[in-house]
Amino acid sequence: MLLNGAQILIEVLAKQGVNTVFGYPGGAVLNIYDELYKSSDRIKHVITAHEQGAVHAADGYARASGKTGVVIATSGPGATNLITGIANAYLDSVPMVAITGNVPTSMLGKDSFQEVDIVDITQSIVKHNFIVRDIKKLEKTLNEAFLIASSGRKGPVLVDIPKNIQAEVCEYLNQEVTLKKNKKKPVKNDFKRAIEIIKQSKKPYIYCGGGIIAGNAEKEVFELSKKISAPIGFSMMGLSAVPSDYELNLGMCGMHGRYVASKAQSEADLVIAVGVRFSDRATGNTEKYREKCQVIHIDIDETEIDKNVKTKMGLCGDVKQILSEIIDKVPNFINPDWIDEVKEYKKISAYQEDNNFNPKNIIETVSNYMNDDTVVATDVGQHQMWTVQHYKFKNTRTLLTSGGLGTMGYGFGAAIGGCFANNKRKTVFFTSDGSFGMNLNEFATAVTQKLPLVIVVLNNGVLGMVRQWQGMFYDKRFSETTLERKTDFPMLAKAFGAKGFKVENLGELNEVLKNLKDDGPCLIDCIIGKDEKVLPMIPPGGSIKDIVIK
Amino acid sequence: MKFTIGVIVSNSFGVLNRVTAVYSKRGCNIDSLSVGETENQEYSRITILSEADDYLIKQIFKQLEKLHDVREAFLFDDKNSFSREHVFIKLSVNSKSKSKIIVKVNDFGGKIIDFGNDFVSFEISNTHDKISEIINKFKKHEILEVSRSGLTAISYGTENMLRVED
Repeated sequence: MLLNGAQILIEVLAKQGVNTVFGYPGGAVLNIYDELYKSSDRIKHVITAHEQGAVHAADGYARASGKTGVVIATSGPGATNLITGIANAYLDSVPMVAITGNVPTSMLGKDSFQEVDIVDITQSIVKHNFIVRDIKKLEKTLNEAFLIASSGRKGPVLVDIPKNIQAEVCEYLNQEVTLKKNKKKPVKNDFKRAIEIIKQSKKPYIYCGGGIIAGNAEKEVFELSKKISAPIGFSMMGLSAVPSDYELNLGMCGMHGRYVASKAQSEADLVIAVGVRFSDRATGNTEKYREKCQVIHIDIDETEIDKNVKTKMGLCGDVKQILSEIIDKVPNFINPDWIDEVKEYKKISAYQEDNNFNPKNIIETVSNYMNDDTVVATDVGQHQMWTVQHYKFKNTRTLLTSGGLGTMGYGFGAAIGGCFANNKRKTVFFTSDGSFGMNLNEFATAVTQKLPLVIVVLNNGVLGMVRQWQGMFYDKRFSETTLERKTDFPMLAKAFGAKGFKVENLGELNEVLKNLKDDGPCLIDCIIGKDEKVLPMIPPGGSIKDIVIK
Repeated sequence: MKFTIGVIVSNSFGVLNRVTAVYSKRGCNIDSLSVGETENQEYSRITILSEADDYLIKQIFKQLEKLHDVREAFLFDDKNSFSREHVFIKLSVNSKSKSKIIVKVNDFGGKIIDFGNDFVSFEISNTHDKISEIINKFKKHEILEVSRSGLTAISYGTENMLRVED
């Protein structure tokens, strides 16, 4: 079958099971958009307000659905507007295929209108990228891009398609591709050793990251925890993997993690780290980290083993398979002393129970009105930490948050993508006045698409996280973090065609949440104090000994 | 510590960029690099000499192996491999120094490839360190040009061959 390049793209998208893409049209992708127009029954295209919104939407869609997110942008500024979103997906290992148009191959390298070398620009923030200069290679390249994005440690892949390639015609082969890359042998005969180490442990602790969710190993982690009575602590990326009401789920550890999660990790004699990369935010001082315990590190990416923390042993391969094998071979055992010790740590909390209108109570109140499968997106900063500390996550893939890159402005696009992935069901987006200001233009998308987003703005009038650091480490010199803006968020919501409410106490918040309708976005502007802090806090490079609780 | 890594890569745009970025991202300077086609036109072979500590060597090796374009990688050392570098040197000479230089070039196993009244060009093959040493030895004369090929290496025996098996 003879097809042009744009038609080949549509065929490959359909073959790869893609039914929703996010993007923004432009001169160098006119051919692609012409085919999208003709194929709207097969592929839904969601136009956002800005390419950054589109790429975050593709990211959120991928995290919530487990499928590969797809974003399309034109050449030049369209392509460069994707960069933050691609880097965000790269740092959090999110499967994504970014399609960019470019000037015709004859115009490449001539500083033509809207020409940038996006392959060169994105090289260090993609798993791989391609420019297609020969129509005969287009089909294979696109299929390869999907395979690379979704295999092994997942990540973003960019395919740059010059305009003439979109128009040229060649035979569509409907071909299958395999990666030529030599596969790593999964795990050698190391299981025996790992089982021995686990059996000898009196205080085992399972430390989970996003690799659990990416590797569909949520059930296995839960089973292992029960079998060896090991509490589980999470990096932020792993948080929704195990229900928050499971008694051995200690929540997030690290810089702003719960005291019990960090303390238990530091007291453990064995940490089984699964699908985590020991990021500095989650680990703190990597030298002090191993003072008491040994580490078994299980990860699909061999480069992560011994990268940040020296391990007793590494098991490299599919985390689900490795955990299943360990569960099979390890005997049941209980450690009542260890569990009691952990229970004691649980009593220490940075937060009090009260009825004040503070971030904890706001997030818990919102949480009460949501379902187990409600997708929650956040922006970046204090509100993000409060959300991951206090929201009661039940189902996996319900948290969309920027972990590695810490991208303010990530949340709106991600919430839109997550909402599409969850059949346009109610989706919560926690943000703050600072982060929200970055990409609030996506209100236009949410309204047009009639998305039932509940946008909760924790509005303190300051850039709270930076202010918190200025307060703690810079003698309260609050340089450029007091915003003094006059933005009226509920009115802004109305201007975009959405509903908006301002609430100043829990009663008002409950009232708004009770009357929520799922017919479009609704903003709830929660006015909170500017000196609310995220606690506990382990200062950068510190250990549990340095933790600040109150 | 000096270390040499050989990689077999797909013969496609930008591969060299991707490979060298693994070094530069980690603040690791490349001392020598050579690239050439292989017996299979789909693949090229790159040999890189650099300096780092043990931790970084392991990281760089694993990160290289992870690149989509890299099919095989091998860490060369003196025990498992043979390495060579080629150099062209052009010296300014006069009637007095010319004959001495020609003798010296022969002593180093080199070969004169071009000469005139006031210059002589020659080539020498040896290990990377030896080539550096030889260049130093000629510094008492006026060196006009030096062009080094970059190190290339091959493993001893047939056990650790750096090749793609399809």
